[in-house]
Amino acid sequence: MLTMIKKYFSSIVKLDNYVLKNKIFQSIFSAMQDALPILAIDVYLRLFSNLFLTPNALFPVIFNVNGPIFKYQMLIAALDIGILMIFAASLTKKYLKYRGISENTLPILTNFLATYFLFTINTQSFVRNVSQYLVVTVLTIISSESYYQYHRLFKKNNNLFAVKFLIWSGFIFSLYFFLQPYVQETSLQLLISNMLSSNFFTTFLGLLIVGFFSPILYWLGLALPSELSSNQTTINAVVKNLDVILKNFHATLPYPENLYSVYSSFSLLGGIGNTLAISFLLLFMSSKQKQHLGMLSIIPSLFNNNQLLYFGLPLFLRPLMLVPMILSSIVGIAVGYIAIAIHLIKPAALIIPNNVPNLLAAFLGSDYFPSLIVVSVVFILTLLIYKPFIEVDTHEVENEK
Amino acid sequence: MRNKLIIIFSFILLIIIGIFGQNWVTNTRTTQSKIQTSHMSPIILIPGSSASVNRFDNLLTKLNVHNQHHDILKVQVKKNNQLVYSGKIRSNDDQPFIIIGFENNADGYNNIKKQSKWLDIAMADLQDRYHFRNFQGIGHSNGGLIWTRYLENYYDADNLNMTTLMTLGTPFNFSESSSQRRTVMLKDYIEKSSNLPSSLIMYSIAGTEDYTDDGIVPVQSVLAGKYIFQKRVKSYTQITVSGDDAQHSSLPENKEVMRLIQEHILSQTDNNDFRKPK
Repeated sequence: MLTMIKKYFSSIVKLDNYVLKNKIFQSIFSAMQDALPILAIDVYLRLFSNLFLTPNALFPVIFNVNGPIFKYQMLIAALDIGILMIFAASLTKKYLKYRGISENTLPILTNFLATYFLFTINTQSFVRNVSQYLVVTVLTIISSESYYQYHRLFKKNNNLFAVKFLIWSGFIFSLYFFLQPYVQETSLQLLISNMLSSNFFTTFLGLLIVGFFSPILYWLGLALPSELSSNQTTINAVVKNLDVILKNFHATLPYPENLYSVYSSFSLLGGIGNTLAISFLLLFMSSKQKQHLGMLSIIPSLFNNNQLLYFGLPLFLRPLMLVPMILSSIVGIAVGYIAIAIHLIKPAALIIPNNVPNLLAAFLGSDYFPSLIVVSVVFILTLLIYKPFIEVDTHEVENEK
Repeated sequence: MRNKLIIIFSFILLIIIGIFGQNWVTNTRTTQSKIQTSHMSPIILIPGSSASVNRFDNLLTKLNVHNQHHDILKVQVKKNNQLVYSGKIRSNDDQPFIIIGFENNADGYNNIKKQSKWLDIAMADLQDRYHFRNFQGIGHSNGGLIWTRYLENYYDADNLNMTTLMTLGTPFNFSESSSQRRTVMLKDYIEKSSNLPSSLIMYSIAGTEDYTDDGIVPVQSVLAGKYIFQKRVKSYTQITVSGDDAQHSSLPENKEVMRLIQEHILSQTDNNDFRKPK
């Protein structure tokens, strides 16, 4: 058994090494690093807003004080798009450098602006889920590759902004313009959202499926519905539980195991994939770079935002990270479900304040202290799952140096 | 060293959030339980423009003579959002009357917008005090416009359940006598009518003195309410009353109106179905 695990682990490391050596993936990961500073501003601004400034900010709510309310969601939404624009610009630069093209001002500008239009044209709501990293990555690479091929046709031209290149730029803008309704389309999110409202996702199998697929979808860089990342309180089973418990606190709940009581409380510690353990482990890694990432990401992770890890480590498209993300997510589901099913703990059914760390969700949602012990067990298990992977990752970085 | 400090800081932060969060959850649960299990279903009345919280005194006195005695609470909302209460409600009164008036009780769409916001403040405070979920509304004249704007913009169906709304001589198209000429307010109300609660039972009562108006409000303006409510709420009923007290200002004292209130609003105490949350 142990040999088999070692064999699988070694295959994953090999695959990850292969990906890390691939020039296209190198360009993607390097571009993500470039977007890290603006992402850090975005993440901390959002955190500060969620904790202190929005109408339902955590601290004014739990301390019962009326703090000043600032509505700068538009600024945060603009920063979200800014991150994608910088990522697209940087990816264009790195990709074309790998392709041996140094005159890259026009394609960088084109992809930078086209990414902006992709998420802003024809949309009534500027504030929307724009975490479509896969779409931006694929489109930017297609655009950059097309520039490379086009550029080869006119080797002797020295004018970067010659009409023929402007024609290419115009074509890319047209392509993005044509694609923007499909990119802004939320039908996949709505479909998943509708599926999750089914009572099937109150069964062990249903919850395991969610625990398995949500890290994969996240890892792939697809925009997910809020039920998978933050808010499960609108799901029918959760509403029915709340109705029952408000009438009689000691009544038997119709759906004790559901996305709120199991998935959110035990499988979203630090965000999708139980990634709080990663921030924690990074603090103790030998690499200074990794330690800094751990320190930068731990407080946002505590409040369920793992975007800094997503870009900084990165989690996005890294084979090495997918396996522990799935394992941690499933382990969280299994432990939480069993603990509730055998009545070791009470299921979370009560409404808790917005933006509370998910580490406390099981305890606050059930008003039952032993839930914290089960959450601690899950957290320790996720530390054990992530540890070898993070160590390998740190080792790879050091070797690179 | 720094990593240990950050872990200690995170731990302390978790303990603080845990303690205060638990306190919040307990308080919220208690309040929501009271709301969920509350038997109180007040009748909330809003007077028209220029009228005070005493506008319905005659009507309520007469209703209390004919029916079981219900307590009367008056709430005036000041311009600075402060609430001034007078009267009281017994804990065993399931259907008290609550009158909400405004210090700024002036006419005009801009004032109606402000008054709707003040109504929302008053409703939140009343729910905090009396923990009701179900209620019925009566609005005289512009009071009906304030209710409508409140329902479209502020009403939260998760916390409240308005079962019945009765408007008396409410000019949904202001003083326009033709439904072809829609005011900005009517257009706004129609545009947001999808926000109206689908379980609401609505009665719009018009008065006529001379086939065209009730002395102040054109009948056509009252009838324009159908463009807002019809097919959006559970049922919309238009009733026209005439006779001696059918003049706009006398509508709350009109015998037919009193009978309609007794029949459609007060009688609901005997019907438990309306208490069920949506």
